[in-house]
Amino acid sequence: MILKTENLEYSYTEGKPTLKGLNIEIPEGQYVAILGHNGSGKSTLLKHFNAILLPTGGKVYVSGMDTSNEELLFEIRTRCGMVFQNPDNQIVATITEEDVAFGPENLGVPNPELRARVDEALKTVGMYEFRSHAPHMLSGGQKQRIAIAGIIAMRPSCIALDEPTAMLDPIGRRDVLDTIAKLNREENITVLLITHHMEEALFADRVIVMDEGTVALDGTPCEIFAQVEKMESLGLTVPNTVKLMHTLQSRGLPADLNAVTTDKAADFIARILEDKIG
Amino acid sequence: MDNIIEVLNLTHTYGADTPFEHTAIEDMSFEIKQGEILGLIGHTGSGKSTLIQHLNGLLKPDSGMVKFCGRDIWDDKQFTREVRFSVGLVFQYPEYQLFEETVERDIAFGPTNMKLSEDEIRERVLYAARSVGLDDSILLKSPFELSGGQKRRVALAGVIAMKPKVLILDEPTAGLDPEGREEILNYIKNYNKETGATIVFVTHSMEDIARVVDRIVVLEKSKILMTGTPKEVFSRTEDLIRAGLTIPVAAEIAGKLAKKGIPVSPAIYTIEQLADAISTLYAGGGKNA
Repeated sequence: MILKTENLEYSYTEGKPTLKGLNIEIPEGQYVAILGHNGSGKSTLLKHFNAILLPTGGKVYVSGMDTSNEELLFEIRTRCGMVFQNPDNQIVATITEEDVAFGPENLGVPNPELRARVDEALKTVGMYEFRSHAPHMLSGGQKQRIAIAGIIAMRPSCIALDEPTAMLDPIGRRDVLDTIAKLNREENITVLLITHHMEEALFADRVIVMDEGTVALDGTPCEIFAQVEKMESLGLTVPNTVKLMHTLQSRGLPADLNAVTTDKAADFIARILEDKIG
Repeated sequence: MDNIIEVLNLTHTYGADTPFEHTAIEDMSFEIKQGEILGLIGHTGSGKSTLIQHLNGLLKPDSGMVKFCGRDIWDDKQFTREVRFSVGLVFQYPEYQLFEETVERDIAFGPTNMKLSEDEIRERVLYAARSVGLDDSILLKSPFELSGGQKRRVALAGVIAMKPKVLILDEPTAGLDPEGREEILNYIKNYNKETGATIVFVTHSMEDIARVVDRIVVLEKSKILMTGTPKEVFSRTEDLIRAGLTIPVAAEIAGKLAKKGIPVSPAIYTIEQLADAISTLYAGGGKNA
């Protein structure tokens, strides 16, 4: 397990716990989407995985290291990097490649290797050709990919992203999600992704749904989104493909709640209509 | 229907005569009808934000004209000021612009600047807060104690309190959770229905726009790519994708079904419409229906 929480509790104000005894285990290389309405505790949970927050009760382990052990702080933060919602709040340098170099440089990575890591990270996120541009001239999606490059240049085993696509347009959103999926698939980096867009959770191996500081649901995207009423009662929704199948089902038509992509949904519908005449 | 706003051959260039010269709007003409909900969509950099700042006189055209109720908004100083109160603009992430000590004072900021009487201001604050579903008990709280969705609604109420004839909303649902998005969309629809105010809704979200608007203007690279009803616009799937936009999931599935030879209308853009079409075909015996 790369990430593990044991009865994790956290309270911003005493007596009003935001996280209420969470037990979550995340194996290395898993892509996990975390859903939940505003105030459900998603971001608070995420901030425990690189020790921005420390538990007020219970334990959090990153690669077996207890986050409350101050001596391990440096090591923990290099293992698990974070990307936040607003791209403009995460850029520190005036040249793209210097921004990406900021993290590894602070880790004391010496120069020939630093150069190599920065170039590699920029190529991975598809921003190498912008290496000498000023980040503030880039689009939101490009800035988020720079922020991700800055994290992967530190060679973490895990990336935690808190609504990285919320402020992006459809193309920026797609590019960022493709980049995240690629890191997970090709580099075996563990991914934790918080999102309010249900469609984005379809890329994950696993979906954790938070509610009032507890885990309300935990399963594969198909398992989770098949529970349409439950998701709605948690203040969430389901992807439109699932909504379509659910509507068909309620009208007494055959439906496949596992057909979560538009291709699968179209294939399934074509099949039921053809069966009908065949 | 009368046009409340007319945009005539509008052009706006940033940084003219510098190496960073960029024409954000080029010879653009369209109209906004009294009482409609108009959707404005376009990829980042297509000119949306520049355009809406012209609609209430925050920017001055390099050439061309913006008319409000038939009169050039830059006709005279007094009229420009009137237009700024009549056309309310809610920017992206407006909750970052809250600044007062209480919700009540924040919402009252606009009406106070309009030099209205105390009673009128109080009445408008209550009206605006209620129209976005904020309970009266919240009025004495600090805006900074509220949740993200509540803050967004306080910011919206601040503009509604000025009772604008046209309400322009730039990405009003961005960053909210599904319930928060749904609420904001409903308040916008209700506000339009109850007051007859014209609404301009700027968004990247095709799903939101498909459900709420009467008419859509699509921008691409500083120009208008197309205008029409959601039905007309979403049936031009390929043009939208080429302009860097996405299309609603229902339209995407309908398109894929059509390619498989299943007779579904290209004008479908909501899940309900698609479910209806499939149910009809299914009941009628498949694709030969």
